[in-house]
Amino acid sequence: MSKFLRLFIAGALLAVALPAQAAEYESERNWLLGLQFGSFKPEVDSEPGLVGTPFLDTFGPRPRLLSRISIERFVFKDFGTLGGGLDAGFAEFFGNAFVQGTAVPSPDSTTLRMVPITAFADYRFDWAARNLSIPFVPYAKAGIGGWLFWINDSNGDTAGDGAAKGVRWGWTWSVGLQLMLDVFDPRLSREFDREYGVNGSYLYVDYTKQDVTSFGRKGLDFSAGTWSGGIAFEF
Amino acid sequence: MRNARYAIVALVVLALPFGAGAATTVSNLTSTLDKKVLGSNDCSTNYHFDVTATLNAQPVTNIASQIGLSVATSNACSGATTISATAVALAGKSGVYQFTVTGSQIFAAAFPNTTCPGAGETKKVFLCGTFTNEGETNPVVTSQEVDIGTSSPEQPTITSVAPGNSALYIDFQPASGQGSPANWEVCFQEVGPATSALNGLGEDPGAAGTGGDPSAAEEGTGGTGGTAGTGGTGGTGGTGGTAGTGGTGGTGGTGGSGGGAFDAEHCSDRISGAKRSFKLKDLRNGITYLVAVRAVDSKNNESPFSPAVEGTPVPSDGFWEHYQNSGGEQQGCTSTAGAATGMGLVLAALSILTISRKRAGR
Repeated sequence: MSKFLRLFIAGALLAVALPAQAAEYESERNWLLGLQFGSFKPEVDSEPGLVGTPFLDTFGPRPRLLSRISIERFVFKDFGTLGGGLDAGFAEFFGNAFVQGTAVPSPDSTTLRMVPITAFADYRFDWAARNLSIPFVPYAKAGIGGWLFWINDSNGDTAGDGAAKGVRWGWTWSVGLQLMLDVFDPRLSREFDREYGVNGSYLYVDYTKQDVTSFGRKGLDFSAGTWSGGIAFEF
Repeated sequence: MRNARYAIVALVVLALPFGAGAATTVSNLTSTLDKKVLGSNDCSTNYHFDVTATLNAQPVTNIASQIGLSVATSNACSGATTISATAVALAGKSGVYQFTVTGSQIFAAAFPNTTCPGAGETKKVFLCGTFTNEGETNPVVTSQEVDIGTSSPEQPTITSVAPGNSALYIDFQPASGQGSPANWEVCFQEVGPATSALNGLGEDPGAAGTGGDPSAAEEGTGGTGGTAGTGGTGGTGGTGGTAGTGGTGGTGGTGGSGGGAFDAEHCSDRISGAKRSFKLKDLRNGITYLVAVRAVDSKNNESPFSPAVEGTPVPSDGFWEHYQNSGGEQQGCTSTAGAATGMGLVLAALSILTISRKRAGR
């Protein structure tokens, strides 16, 4: 075999090998979709000037479920990921009313429902997870938004002749830790990416502190500190 | 020619007995019954028993008067008691004959010498349709089971009537030792304006609640109202306790059982027998109502009404009112401006995200 032929074969093999290396497919990642569930108990009774504990009296001491969904767009993806997005949730408090003018519990029910909607920016330090296969991604998040609320009476009507509704504004900050699931089964992860365009899957814990007093204005105080858990998908 | 005419006439004469008077044969009878239980309220209810007659899978017609109807204790229909009824051929359904009998007729055949509904009778019987072919002794039969039960459930009791806003919350239970009935019916009768907004009427008024502790700081809470009064023609219910200084008065007791006959002016739709509570809605605050429940079994037998209990709907304070009464300063939002602003922000943000994604896709 001539030297030229050997060189040709080696070159051809290399040409085949390079695309094979490049076949470790990863689609472009631009978004993060998260589903989050946590316990929530707003500090309504902390409102200045409030006498007694109407929130505790009505709904009791038990926190309720706050479910949230968020979508985030990445704007920087080099050393960690910087992004911005939108988050919406729902929480419902259900309790017993009181016989009018008394502290005697009534069998009538009353509900407080909330839909928090926030715009946020966050930074996720995922460089180590992506480059060193360390499966943990710490993150920090800050946001601002409105907490839509409405209060219903026992007949399901909005209380106060329809007036017991509105929006309270506030800000939030969160810290959390994501566990990158891809490292546990890289092959399945690549399949998930190839089939559905999902680059990464995460389980995470989150602590969110929110200050929702419409920036110090009088009224309902929906501030709270909330522990949550969730799942997120990068795509 | 003449011989031929005689022959034709002879054939016609001979053929007549074999045509008009020939016996009809039935090989099979099947049946349906539109109602298979007979309760104390069904004595005058019509039961429709449809019998289909066939011969080699072909409908047999014109035998309405030859089908018999009887009641037996077995589906073989032996030893059956005949019911005097005639079937009618159903129009448009060849070979189908319908008997229409009352519950009383079935009951009388099942329990001779007893008038429906009797004194709480129970029996499973079979409604039988029979046809006897000529020359045979055993009839062709078809039957449908009828479950007779005319005993009523026992009288249930109301365990509590709690006043709500334009509503009364009723808790009740079956008679001791009785299981759940098939259904419940909750009925009420308007008595009139309550003498006290918070109290029902009862012979034995509840003891007044104790007022709040005057020495307690700020808002002492009033005592709970007295025990409900019981039965009778109705005295005045318990009144709220006198408020202590800074305290809230107690609530009066729930009204006791009312005296006199209960006249069910309005009844709820029947509710599942598994339930033990019911909310009577759309009542008027400050008006006293007599409430009673009755159990209804699967045969539509109704129990006597429970002893009627009085209750008076009263307004309630939900979270919004309680919050405002506690000094909360959140203003009501009579328009949807706030919510609309929030939703507007959301839509704006979503639009930005969508646009940015479209650009990224180019």
